[in-house]
Amino acid sequence: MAACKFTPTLTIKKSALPVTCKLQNPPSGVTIAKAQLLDKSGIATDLKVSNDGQSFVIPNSIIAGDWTLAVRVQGGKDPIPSVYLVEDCDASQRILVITDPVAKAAIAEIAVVLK
Amino acid sequence: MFAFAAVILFCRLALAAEKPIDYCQDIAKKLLLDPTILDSNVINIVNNPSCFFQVSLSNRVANEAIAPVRTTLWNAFESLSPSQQQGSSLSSSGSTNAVSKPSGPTSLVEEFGGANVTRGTSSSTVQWSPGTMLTNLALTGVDYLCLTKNQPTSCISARLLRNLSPLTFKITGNTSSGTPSMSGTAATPTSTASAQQVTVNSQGNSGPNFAGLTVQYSLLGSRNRAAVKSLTSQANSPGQGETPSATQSSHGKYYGNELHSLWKTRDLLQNCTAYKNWQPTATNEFQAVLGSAVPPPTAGQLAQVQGMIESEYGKLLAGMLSSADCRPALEGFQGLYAAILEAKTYEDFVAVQSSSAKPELALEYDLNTPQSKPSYSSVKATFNWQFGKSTPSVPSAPLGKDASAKLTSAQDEIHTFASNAAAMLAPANPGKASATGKQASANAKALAQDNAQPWSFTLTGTADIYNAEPPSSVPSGSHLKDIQAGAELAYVFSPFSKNSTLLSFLGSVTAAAAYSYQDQTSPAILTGPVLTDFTGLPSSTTTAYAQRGIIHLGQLRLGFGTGKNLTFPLAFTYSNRTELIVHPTWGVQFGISYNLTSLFGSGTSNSGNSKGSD
Repeated sequence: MAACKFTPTLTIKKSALPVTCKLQNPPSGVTIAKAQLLDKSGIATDLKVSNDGQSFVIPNSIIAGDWTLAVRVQGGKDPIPSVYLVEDCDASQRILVITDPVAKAAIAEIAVVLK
Repeated sequence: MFAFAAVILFCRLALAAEKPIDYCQDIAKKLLLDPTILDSNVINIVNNPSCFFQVSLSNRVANEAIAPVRTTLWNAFESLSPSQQQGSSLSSSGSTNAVSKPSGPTSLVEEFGGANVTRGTSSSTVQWSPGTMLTNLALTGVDYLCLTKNQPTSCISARLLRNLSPLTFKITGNTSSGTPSMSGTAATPTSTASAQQVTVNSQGNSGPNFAGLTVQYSLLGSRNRAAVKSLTSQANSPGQGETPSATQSSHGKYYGNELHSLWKTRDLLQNCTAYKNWQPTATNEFQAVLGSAVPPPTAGQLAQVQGMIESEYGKLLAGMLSSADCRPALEGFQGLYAAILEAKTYEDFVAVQSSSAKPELALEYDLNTPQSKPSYSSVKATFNWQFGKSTPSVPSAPLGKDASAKLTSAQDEIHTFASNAAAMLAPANPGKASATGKQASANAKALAQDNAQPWSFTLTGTADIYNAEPPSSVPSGSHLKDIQAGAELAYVFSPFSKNSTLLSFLGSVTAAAAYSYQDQTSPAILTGPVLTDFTGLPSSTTTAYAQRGIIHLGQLRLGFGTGKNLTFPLAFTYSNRTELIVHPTWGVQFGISYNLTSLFGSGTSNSGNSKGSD
C-alpha cells in the first residue's frame, strides 16, 4: 500500500491524482450511493463508485482548485453508526465522517493544488 | 369485542408513551465515542441536520415528520392493495369473499345477509395480525425497534417482528338474532333409521354461536415480512438484490439533489454572522467537556453532552433568527431537509412498491364449529400475486422548481410529499402549528393511489376434514368432508377524480370476480335440534345428511371504501347448489369492515398535533 496523498487538511497535489477513497470498516450493508465533487458554483462532477459500493476514485481530470466532496451512503441498520470515509493508503487518511441517520450524507472541503 | 378494542387501546397508549427517536442523543453518543468528529459533524451543522431540526422545533414534531415516511407509504399501499380482504371469509356459501386472501390488517368485520335472506349470514370476524400491529408501531417511530445493543429494554425485537409479521388470527362468530331454522323433508319418510337422507328446501339464519377460529401464516413473500425486513435489516436500502451500481443509477438524481443542497446550505451559512460567531465559542465549550470523556460513555456523560448539543444549537438558532443575514441559510436548511426527505421518500417508495409486487403464499388452518353440524377443520393454501404497475423512473432532469414540468405524475407526487413534509419543519417559524401526520398520510395516499399495484390474482386450495369420523350409517361418510379450489381476480380503481369529495369519502373501489369449485366427498351432515324442522323425520333420527355433489360457485364483488379504514364490500353470489340445498341458489351479501390497524399507526401524539390514520 502506498503513502497517503491527502494531507491532514485535505489538500492533494494534482499530480497525485487519481486517488481512491473507501469506507473504513463499514457497518454491514452500508454502501456508497453517490459521491460528487462540487465546484465553487455548485456544479457537480460525479465520481465513479466501485461495483461493490465500497470506494470511489477522484480522477486526474479534476482541475486544481477548491472543491466540496459530497458523499451519500445507503443501507445498514437504522440509525446508522458513524461511517468513516478514508483515503486508501497506509495510514488511512480520514476524508469525512457521516453521522446523520436520516441524511446519511456529509460534505468536506478539499483542495487540489498544482504543487 | 369491546374488551378487544380496550386491549388495543391500552397497547397503543402504553407503547405511545415511549419517546421517539432522538437524533441529538444519537449524535451525542457518536461524539462521545469519537470526539474528533466535533468540528466536522457537530459544529458543521450541515453534516448534522436532523439534530439541528429537532432542537430548532423544540418539540418532537420533527421526528414525526421524518420517521413516518415509510409508515405512511406502507399503510397507504397496504390499504389500497387489491389483495386486502374486505369482509370475512366465513365460507363460500354466504360471505362477501368466495376466496380468502393471504393478508390483511387487524380488522373487525360484520357480514350481513342481503336480498336472499333465507341464505344470508350474519357474522362478525375479528382478525388480529400481531405482526402487522407491531410493524405499524415500529414503523411509526423506529425507536420502538431494538435496533442497537444499547436500546432500552422496552423495545420491539426485530426478529420477533419478522417472525410474527406473517401470522394472522381470525375469530368468527355468528351474531344473528334470527332463529336457527331449516325446512325440508325426509327423503324416505317411512324409514326409522338413525341416520337418514333429507332434502333441504331452505336454510335460515343461525343463532349466536362460536363459528370458527383461523390461524394463517404466510410462508413466502409475506408483504408484512418484506416491509419489516426492509425496515430492520436493510432500512432505506431499496436496492436489495440490485448491484450497487444499479442502485446508484436508480436513485442518483435524488441523492445528487440532496448533496447539492448540502453544498448550498453550507455556502449560505458562510454569510451568516451568527453562525460564524457561534462556531469558535461552541467548539471551546464542547472541548472542555469532551476532554474528560473516555469511551464507552456513561449515561451521565451522554445526558450532559446531549444537553450541551441541544443548548448550543438552541443558542445558534436564536442567533440566526435574530440576524437578517442568516435568513437565507435558515431557508436553505428547509430546502436541505426537503431534499433529504425526497431521497428518503423515493427509497421508501421503491421498497414498499417492490415488496407489494412479490407473490405471496400462505398456509391457513381453520377450526369450524358450525351450529347443527359436526365440527371440522380446514387446511388451506393461498397464493396471491399483485401486478399492474412498474416502479416509476427517477427524474431525468435535475430536481427543482424549474424542472417540475418535466416530472411524471409519480415523481411530482414524491416531490410534493417531501416538500410538504419539509415545509412542516419550518425552522424559521418554530411555533407554527402543524398536522404533520395527517398531511403526510394524505400525501402518501395520493402517492399510493397512483402507484399501488391495481391487479390481484388469488388461488386457493382447501381440504375440509371432519374432526370426528361420521357415523358409518352415513353413505360415503368419511373424515374428508370436501376439497375446494378457488380463484379470484380483483382490480382496484377510482371512478372519482383525484380531488373530488366522493373520493375522499368513498375511497377507491375494488371490483372482483371469483370462482370456487367444491367436491363434497362426504355428504353434509346435520345433527341436533334442527332435525325437528324436517317433515317426516322420526324422533329416533340422530343424524341427517344431504345428497352430496359438486358445487360451482361464482361471485362478483364491489368493495367500496378501498384505501379507507371503513370498507363496504357488496357481493352477488350464484351457485348451482349449496352443501345442503341441491338446487341453484343466489344471494346478495354485504359487510362492513373496520381497519383496526389504523389505531396502531399513530405512535406519539403531541399536543396540538395528531397523526392521521391510514
